[in-house]
Amino acid sequence: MNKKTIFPILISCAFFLSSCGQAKKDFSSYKSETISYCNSYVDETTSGWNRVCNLNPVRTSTNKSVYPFDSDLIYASFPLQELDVETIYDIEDKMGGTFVSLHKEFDRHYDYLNEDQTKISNLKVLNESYGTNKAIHVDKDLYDLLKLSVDLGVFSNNRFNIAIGDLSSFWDEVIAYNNDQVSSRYYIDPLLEDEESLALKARWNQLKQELPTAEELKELLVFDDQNQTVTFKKYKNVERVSLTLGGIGKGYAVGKAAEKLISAKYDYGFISGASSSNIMLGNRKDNTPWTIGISSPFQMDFDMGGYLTLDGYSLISTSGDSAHMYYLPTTNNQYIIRHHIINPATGESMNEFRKVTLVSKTISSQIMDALSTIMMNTKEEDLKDTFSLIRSTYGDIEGIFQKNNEDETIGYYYVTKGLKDQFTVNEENTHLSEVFSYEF
Amino acid sequence: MNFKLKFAKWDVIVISILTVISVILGLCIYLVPNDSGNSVAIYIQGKMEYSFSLDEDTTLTLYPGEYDKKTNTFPSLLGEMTIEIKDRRVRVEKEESPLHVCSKQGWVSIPNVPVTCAPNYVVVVIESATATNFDLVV
Repeated sequence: MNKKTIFPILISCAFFLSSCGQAKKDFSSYKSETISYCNSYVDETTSGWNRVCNLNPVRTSTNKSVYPFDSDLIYASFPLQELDVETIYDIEDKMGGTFVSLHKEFDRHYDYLNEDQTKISNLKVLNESYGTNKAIHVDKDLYDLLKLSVDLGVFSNNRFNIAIGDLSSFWDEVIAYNNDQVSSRYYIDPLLEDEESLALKARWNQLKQELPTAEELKELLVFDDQNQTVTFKKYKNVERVSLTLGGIGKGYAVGKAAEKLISAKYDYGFISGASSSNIMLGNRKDNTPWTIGISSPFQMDFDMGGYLTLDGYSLISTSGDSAHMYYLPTTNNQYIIRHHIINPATGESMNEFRKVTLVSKTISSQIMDALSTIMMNTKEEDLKDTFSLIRSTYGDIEGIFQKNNEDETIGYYYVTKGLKDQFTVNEENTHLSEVFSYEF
Repeated sequence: MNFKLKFAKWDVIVISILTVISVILGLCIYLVPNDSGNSVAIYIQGKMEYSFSLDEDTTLTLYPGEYDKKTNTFPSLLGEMTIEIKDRRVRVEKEESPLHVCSKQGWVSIPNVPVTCAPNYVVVVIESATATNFDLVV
């Protein structure tokens, strides 16, 4: 052996050794100075999948920092071996740019500025125009989404209603307050009888009375297709009505970002919008099915209830009570779960299903987002009829509906026929002892 | 034909380097954690307050009261809670809550299957350093 053969061997060994460390590479070192929408990094908790473009907070017109769509968990995932610096930049640009611009349009809380320092005509601007009969010009994305939302409200028979902005804020505050009071065990809730709770109940009743139904909202929002304007008319003598796209906006953004990534051939990964709006962009590189863990609805959202296998492009939309909630103790040593998905028809969260997971290959991401909310606001006895109506109106869709018994020792999974062979219960989960298939 | 085999200086160097590489790779493999989980994490009000090795049998008692980690007191606790790690399993042995769901759950030895004491805002989970088998969890 001479020097000419030895050095290539040594260099190969060095490369081999250095590649051992690749699995834990931090992409933050590749970060472009010009792109600030998001960060990309290796996620050590997922096997071989790496987060690309985990969204950063955006700045409002008053320089406040807020996460797009209220979540710090919006990202795309791609296998490490498919990523190089240019690919990461490109995905960040396409996905991050889409999410940030749509968030600014759909946000009802803050103002944002265009590059020329003019105010973006967003949902907040439209809400502020309520009752003035002023036609507000908005971008096409917001215009289209508002029209769709109104139609979905009517379709859902008021189980989805974008006019619940103030009611939603009311419950957000109550949930946040009660979460802060864990140590003192002092809860406020419209169901309770103490002074503060009674005041809360009065405010809650007022908000319910002032809420237009989805059918009424159709008359309040006047759309002008030619000029792309929306006029938000006054409802009875109500001083203020606030629109929110909280149940549909993120789904829309995930869908738009997915379109961009797929058309650029980045179709071997997936986008996760805080777990609630997800799109598997195409086939896995090794052509095996996607494996989606379905977390258990029990309590604090760590448990794995089962898993789902899906082939190719698939949309998965979930809604559940495990995030942003509190347990309200009741007199008989039980508790009820108060959560953030508000049924516009009753003004409070429902406890019919703990979690709804919908799967489709054809329905748009924004409609899927709204449908999972609608199903959370559906009674078990209406499940079959509602699902049939959704299928005949919007196309093929399957679902998993999770419930439990009163003391949370048994899980009930209603699984539609189309997913029966694709859904497997996690038998190591000590909670789940029964699974029912709801066939339709 | 007459072949003569003898060690040259570079042969010794290459063999030594390859030996060192083998040892390093062997250590790498040895140090990679296995799927059975390494540690028990205890979350209280969403924050990880304790982490114990699953290999060491331990008993931890938590108390209700003003937050003080030195005395294991936490405001979210409804009463005394005992968490036991034994034979690479973990359980909540004793706790105060209306339904006693988490103490009824018994021993858990599988990673990422938590013992959840919702009324006390306590979650006990065996954490695995290796990856999950899922592409995505929803």
